[in-house]
Amino acid sequence: MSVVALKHPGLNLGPSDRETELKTEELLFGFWVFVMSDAIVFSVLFATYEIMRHSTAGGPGPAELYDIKSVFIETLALLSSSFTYGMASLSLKYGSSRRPLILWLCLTLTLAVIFLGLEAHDFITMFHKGGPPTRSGYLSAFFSLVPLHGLHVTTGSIWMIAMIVQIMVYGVDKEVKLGLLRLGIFWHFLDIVWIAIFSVVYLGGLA
Amino acid sequence: MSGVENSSRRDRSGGFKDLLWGLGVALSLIAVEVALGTLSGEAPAPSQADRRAEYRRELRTYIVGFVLAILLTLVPYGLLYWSVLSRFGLLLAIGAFALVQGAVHLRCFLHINPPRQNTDDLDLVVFTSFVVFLMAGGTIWILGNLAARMH
Repeated sequence: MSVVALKHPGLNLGPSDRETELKTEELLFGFWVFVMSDAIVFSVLFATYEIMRHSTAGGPGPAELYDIKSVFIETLALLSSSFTYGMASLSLKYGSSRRPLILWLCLTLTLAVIFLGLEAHDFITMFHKGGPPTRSGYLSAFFSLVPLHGLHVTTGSIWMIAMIVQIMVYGVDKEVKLGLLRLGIFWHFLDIVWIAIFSVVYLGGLA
Repeated sequence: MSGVENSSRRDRSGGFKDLLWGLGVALSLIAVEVALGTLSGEAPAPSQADRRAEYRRELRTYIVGFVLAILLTLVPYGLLYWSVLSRFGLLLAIGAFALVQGAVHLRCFLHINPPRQNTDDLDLVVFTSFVVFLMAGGTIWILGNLAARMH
């Protein structure tokens, strides 16, 4: 059975001239290397968290500190934002005007801001409940893992704003397409990391 | 923590039942994932002429991915919320659901599709998994052992 080969991770925009295809493959492979090395950084922080889980030093533990309902809403927001980014990628590939593309990106950005707002609120609540990073080894591990993901989402959001501005100023040219493809990989990767955080840190911590 | 007390109240046969249950869930989810991969792997080759069909196929991939992602989040959340299983069974189920969801995201959102993928991208995924296995697994093994001895 003949199937079209996928040239790079993320949505493939389809055939183009040879030079553009080579450049796209090269750039996206390089970005994929970065994403995979980022995955290693996260995995080691996950391992550290697992080791430190019970080192509460007499301080509060997961059951006292986590608000699972808020985390659940954050998860739904981030999963939806991955889907809306997918829709943005599809309108980049198939759409004829840039309006739907910008609308989907703005929707994704809104969901990301909701996620970040709720997460910041969760952290502040944890501080008030007597769980700052300095309280115990467990909390140090928690605050080096979870906010690092939040920082990634923040960076991705700033990147998304930059992409929206570029679309409005330059239109959907080759550079903008390459930027959106890379941002897509980054965004969907962050979703996978969040699933790991939701499962290992929150669900696992409360189990 | 309440979870620890729960598990100590359970008898051994209950834990074994939960283990079987967790394994069953994991296996059926993997079957779904394999079926999904086979179905989309056999999709007809898109050409310039049927761009519309390609659009529908890719749209379907995102929708399937989104629905599966929501389901795979809701089920472990529900299992925790209504505390259906013992602690061990619950952890096993959470882990299984997370792994399957990771695979769904890779397949449906990041479009990592082994039969069609550029080998360099795949090699990197395999290599990263290996490094993660060594570094994260090694950390948990060695430092976990050390922590257990110190407590």
